[in-house]
Amino acid sequence: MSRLLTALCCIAPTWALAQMNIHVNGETDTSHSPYALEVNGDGCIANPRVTWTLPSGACQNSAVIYATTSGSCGTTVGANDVQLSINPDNVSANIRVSNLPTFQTGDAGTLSCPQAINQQNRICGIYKTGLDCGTVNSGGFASIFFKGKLPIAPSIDNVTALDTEISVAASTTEPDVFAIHVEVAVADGGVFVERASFTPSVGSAKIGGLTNNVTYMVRARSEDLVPQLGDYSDVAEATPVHTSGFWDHYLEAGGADRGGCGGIGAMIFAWCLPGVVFAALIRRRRPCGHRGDS
Amino acid sequence: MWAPRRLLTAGLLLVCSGVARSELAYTVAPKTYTESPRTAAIEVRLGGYKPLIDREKSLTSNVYNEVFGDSAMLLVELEFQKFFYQGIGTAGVGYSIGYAEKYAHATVVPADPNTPPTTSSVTTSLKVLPMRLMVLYKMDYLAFHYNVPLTPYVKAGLNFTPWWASKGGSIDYVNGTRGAGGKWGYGFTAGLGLLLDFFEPRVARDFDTDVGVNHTYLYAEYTYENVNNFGKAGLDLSSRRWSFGIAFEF
Repeated sequence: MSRLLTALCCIAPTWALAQMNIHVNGETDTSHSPYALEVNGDGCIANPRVTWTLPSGACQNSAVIYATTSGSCGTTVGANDVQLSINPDNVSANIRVSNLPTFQTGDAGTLSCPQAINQQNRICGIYKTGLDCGTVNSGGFASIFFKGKLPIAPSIDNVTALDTEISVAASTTEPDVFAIHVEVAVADGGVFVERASFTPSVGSAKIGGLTNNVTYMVRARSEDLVPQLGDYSDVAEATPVHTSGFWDHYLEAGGADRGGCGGIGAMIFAWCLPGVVFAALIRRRRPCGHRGDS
Repeated sequence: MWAPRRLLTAGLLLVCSGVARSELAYTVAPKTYTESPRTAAIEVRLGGYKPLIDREKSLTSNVYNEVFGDSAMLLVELEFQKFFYQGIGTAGVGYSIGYAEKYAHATVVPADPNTPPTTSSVTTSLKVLPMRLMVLYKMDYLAFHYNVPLTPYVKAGLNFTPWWASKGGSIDYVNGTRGAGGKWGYGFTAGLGLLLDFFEPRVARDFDTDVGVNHTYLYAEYTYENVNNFGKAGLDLSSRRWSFGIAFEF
């Protein structure tokens, strides 16, 4: 078992090295998640630069770079794929967005760019290894996502009316959305103004400074990595109301307290003493032997 | 011819019996257990904490009870003790810190004062972080010298309790008054510890040998504390409470 683990430990780094590391405009799918590059119709004439590094043991200048709409990379360039011309530096290539496989049809014709299409184009690498460079290997990939459609509208999952504020929760199913923008307007003919923005992973925000007993309309829209703003969600409504919590009850009942932190003594008590105790504990030394040991 | 062989046999027997005797003597020699130095203790405890907010003289209603009901908060406390005297009992200084919170739904205040208030989906809460710097004395002499597994103790100390009241997940402001602060006070505690070593002395010794924990107690204690800035007006976080916990001396 230990030998197996040792073998795995030795082999694993070799596997990790045996990949072509492909970048588009210096980005990978991980660094610019979820795609190395995302463009819309405005980018049809763009000419992104593809760079790569060969793994150790690869034959020099053996790289073949191609673009495909297939879900995986292989060891040969397919009929509907687009092979990139490698630049004289042998470590880079360029592909015009309008030449991406998205715009190559199955019957060998071409589509004009832009199109109302959302499609991932993988930029794949192939390289050779072996004494006679006879072994063909599939390398890594980086994605250029052509996004010809606007982001779909997010859904407003929940609007909670609070005291002079509302809490808005919204979500989207699109993976490339990096921000959801929330706009608020007074229901009676007000103008929508953006009041909050959050990432889909955060999912919610509080909007304050509102007037109690006034109804507000709330709508949201997504912004993707292109970046482009999508359609608006359905409008939700909420009316902040004055609520009374413990502190309100206390003051209304004649409570004399007005808050306050308690001065410097309190800060020492609250922050310095725990530090002293902690330091005393970690500095505590124990003798190696027991009392009475000789 | 036979004499040297008999002599050799007798000699061998003598040597063997000597070895056997010395081995027997080694086996029966009593192993002595010596306790490791005992200088400090850590205690963890739980208890119900119901601040005596409603006894504030200026209040016209029972605020705590009206908002949170009659039940207490669950207070979790951690205490560190350092001993400076070990003779007839043990004396030392200690520092404890705890946390308790209580949640309830806020009420919607109706525009019409004749309409009864309704419950809101917004939550309101009161949170406290009681801290105490104390001196303590444990009467553990009987436990260590006369096998009585009970150790009474007393503590007296200076309290500071930061508190904050929130509504809708953030600290509540009412007309610019922030619902947060800190309260000074003092408190006394009396308790009784049950020395678990008494029931499993061998495990207790192993615990000391392996990790340096000399003694383990289960204990119950009663705390009387006045935390109201020494009688000044304002939020009264005083309490009278029972707590139960476990203590490790090391």
